[in-house]
Amino acid sequence: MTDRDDARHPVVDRLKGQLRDDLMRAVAESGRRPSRRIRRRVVAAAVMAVVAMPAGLAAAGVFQSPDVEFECPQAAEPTAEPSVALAPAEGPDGVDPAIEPDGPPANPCD
Amino acid sequence: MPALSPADHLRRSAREPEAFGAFYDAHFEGLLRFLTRRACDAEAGMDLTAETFAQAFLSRRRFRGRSDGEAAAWLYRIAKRQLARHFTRGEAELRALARLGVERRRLTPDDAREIERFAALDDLRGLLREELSELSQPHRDALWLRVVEELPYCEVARRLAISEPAARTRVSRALKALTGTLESSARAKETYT
Repeated sequence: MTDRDDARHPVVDRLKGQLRDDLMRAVAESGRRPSRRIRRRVVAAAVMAVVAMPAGLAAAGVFQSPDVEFECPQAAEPTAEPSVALAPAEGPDGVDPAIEPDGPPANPCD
Repeated sequence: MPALSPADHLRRSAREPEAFGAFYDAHFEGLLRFLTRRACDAEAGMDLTAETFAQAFLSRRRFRGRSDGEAAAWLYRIAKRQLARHFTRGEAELRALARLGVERRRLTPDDAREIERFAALDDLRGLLREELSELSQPHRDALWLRVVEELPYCEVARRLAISEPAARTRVSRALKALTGTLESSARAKETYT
């Protein structure tokens, strides 16, 4: 122990106290929030889930499954008659098939 | 039940972060004196002390020692790394403090003078002046330009009309010549624990 060690340095004591308060406040806050490593893992897991979910469902054949119910089942069934869009642009009688005299077709879901 | 030592507190802080406070209390003065004398500057000494403790807190789980000597050696290794970066960059790197969200506190001129008294910087400067006068003129000039005026080596070389490698060699030899005296002075003046 030297004379210098015995001497009081109020400024040093004050600075020590200030830094201690700052550090311990940060320490307390770091205990409350998850560490950077944990945050990174959570974000990585979330990204993996978002990326992997559609691919996983497609691989499992969910989108081709007959069990999947469509909101409008009739809409999914193929129609027996050829679509108007596939007909010749102009019929043999010269009537444009795109013009439908009876108005628009009925919505099967209605 | 015996009182816990600073090393015990450091180990304990891995699972109870608040225990780090006792480790800090045990080492603050010694570390501030060490870094202020090595940086030869009160402001840098305070910045480096704060950054070293912040880094030590963030790395506390990596401490594997058991004794107080091992804990002090671990802390001073961090401090020396900070000091080396300080000399390379010309200012303290305060990354760990930023990560913890601790704002840097600037010293008032009175605070800086008090820290200089605490670290006995005047004694050190007097010693340096004496030792510098023992050096040859070319080595003294190179050291002065690089360390006191903080010029880059290319500028030191230009002012002394020598090559840059020659400037580096002169500064290095001058520092080596001073090392023995400064080390013995440091051992006498610095308190590590």
